[in-house]
Amino acid sequence: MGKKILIVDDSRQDRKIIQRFLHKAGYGDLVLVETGEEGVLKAETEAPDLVITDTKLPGIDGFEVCRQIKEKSLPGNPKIIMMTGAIDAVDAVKARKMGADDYCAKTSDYATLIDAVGQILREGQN
Amino acid sequence: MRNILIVGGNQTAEMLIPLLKETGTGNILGVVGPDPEAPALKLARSLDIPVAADWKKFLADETLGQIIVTGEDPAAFKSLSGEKPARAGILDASAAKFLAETLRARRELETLLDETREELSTQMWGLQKTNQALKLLYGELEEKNKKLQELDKLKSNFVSHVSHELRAPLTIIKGYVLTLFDETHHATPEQAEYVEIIRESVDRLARMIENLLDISKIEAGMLELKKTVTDLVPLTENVVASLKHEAGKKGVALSASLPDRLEAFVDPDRIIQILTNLVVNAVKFTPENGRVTVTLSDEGKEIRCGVSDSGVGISRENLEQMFTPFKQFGQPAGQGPKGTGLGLAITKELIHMHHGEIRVESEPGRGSRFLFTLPKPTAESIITDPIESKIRLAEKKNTDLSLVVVALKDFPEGKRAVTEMIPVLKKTLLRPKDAAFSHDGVLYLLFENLEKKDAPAAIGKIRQALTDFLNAKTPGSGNALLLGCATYPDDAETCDDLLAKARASLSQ
Repeated sequence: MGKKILIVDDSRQDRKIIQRFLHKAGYGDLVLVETGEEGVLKAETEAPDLVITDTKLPGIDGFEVCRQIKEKSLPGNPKIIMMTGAIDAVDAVKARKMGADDYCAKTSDYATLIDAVGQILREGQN
Repeated sequence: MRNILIVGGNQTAEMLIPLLKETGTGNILGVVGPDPEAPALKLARSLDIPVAADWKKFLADETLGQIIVTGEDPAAFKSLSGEKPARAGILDASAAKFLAETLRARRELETLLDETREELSTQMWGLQKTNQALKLLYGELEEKNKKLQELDKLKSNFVSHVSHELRAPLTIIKGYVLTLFDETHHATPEQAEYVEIIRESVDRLARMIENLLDISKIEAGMLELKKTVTDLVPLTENVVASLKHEAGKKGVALSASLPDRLEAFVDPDRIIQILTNLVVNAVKFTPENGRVTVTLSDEGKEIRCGVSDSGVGISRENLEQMFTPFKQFGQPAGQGPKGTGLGLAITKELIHMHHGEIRVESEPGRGSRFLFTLPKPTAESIITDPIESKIRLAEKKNTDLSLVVVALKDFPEGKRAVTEMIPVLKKTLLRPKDAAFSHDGVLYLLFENLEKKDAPAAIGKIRQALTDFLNAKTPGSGNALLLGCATYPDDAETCDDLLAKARASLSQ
């Protein structure tokens, strides 16, 4: 069964690239939003298997998105990956505490992100 | 885990029930108390622990290991009296209270430990993730840096190529514009003015192309200094004399304050370029009735040269960017030809290539003073500088470089003879790329692209040419000739080693 992924990123270009790489990796069911608020909303209405969120967002940031989604304890209990262009150990710990399942760098080929997505969705099946 | 019976339904019992379980101290067989509504009994029922008003049914249990009497419950004590089972220890009320408190402290510690453990593992996770990401990003950065360096090289090559290509058509345009200019006496005043504008623009374009070529060569490390021991005084006098007329037209007095003689080991053409740049700049920014002065002095360890003006000056914030390419500041309109924005950047690079420094002092409205230094020549640097720069070039181009040393043994007027050899060799064996200089009766020849295996043949030819030359001067004197050779990178990689090897191989 195809997995549904919700992507929260305010950069149009980044959304496009992530979409393209995820498509290539075989994930077709994608929901893309720009803001944290939309992200929290869609996490509930779209019931994705996985949420990928940038750390820096206008309005509520990625950490808050993560916290709010986990707090809702949605029936599908979506996994969350936080990604960032500005790596920081403090941020990584914060992401974990907010309930993120993984934290990875935005590299230009998004290879780490795609790896993390594969790993997390496989874990979810077991 | 031992099996425990709790007797009494008071607060201590209520505390002990969860603590005994959670700390793994014991397994509660049952709770005994006369009042079924006592809090401890209620709690026990909710946890599916058997309760009773009497303890007899529990005493029959073979596994009972400990009885805890939690309080002064008269009813409970009454039912206990006389039937103390031998195998089970009994804790009285005060011991039970102490146990409860100890267990509670232990549980708190355990919780704290768990929390700390979890925090630690979260921190570890964060560090691991960060480390992974940093490695990736670093790799990416390195890749980008490499690409950037390649691009930079490409850019330098492109600029140098384009500048070169632009020169040819520009020379033609300039030639014809000058021809037109000569014929402007036939033209209307308007036409003459147009031709003059074209001429000025073509001049500016030519300067820009020259500057671009220079800066791209410098950036690519391909600009080579042709250093010789030079007296800076006549050189500076010439620069001043050549610009005096132009300055005079603007009403600016250009003068120089120079010592009698001041030798430096420099590329004279480049020093002229530096001085011209600075003086032209100074004149440009000095209004009518102003002064521009060039000074030159020997400061012991170094040579100092200054160009000061009584011009508009430079504001503090602009001072820092004076030597940045393409930065031009506050040039008043109509003050002579426009600059290229590259002059000072090139000047600075050229001075650095001479191992000197340049700085500028200025006060807006009162004028500016550009000061640059050049190192005093030492005997060793006169020899090593050109060799070092050739080695750097060879390293860059990944080619060979052969150093040939020529000396004369017991030869009267050897020093002069050696200097005279340079023009002889230039006529025949030295290509324009090769360098030749003499110092203290020794001739140094640097051949680009001369490989070690080809060196003996080349040396043979040099020996032949120089022997003929010497024999022509004084018959038989050709025997005094000594030659030595070493090749970079086969024989040595540094200037000192190359020199030592070449000197050591000197032979007839």
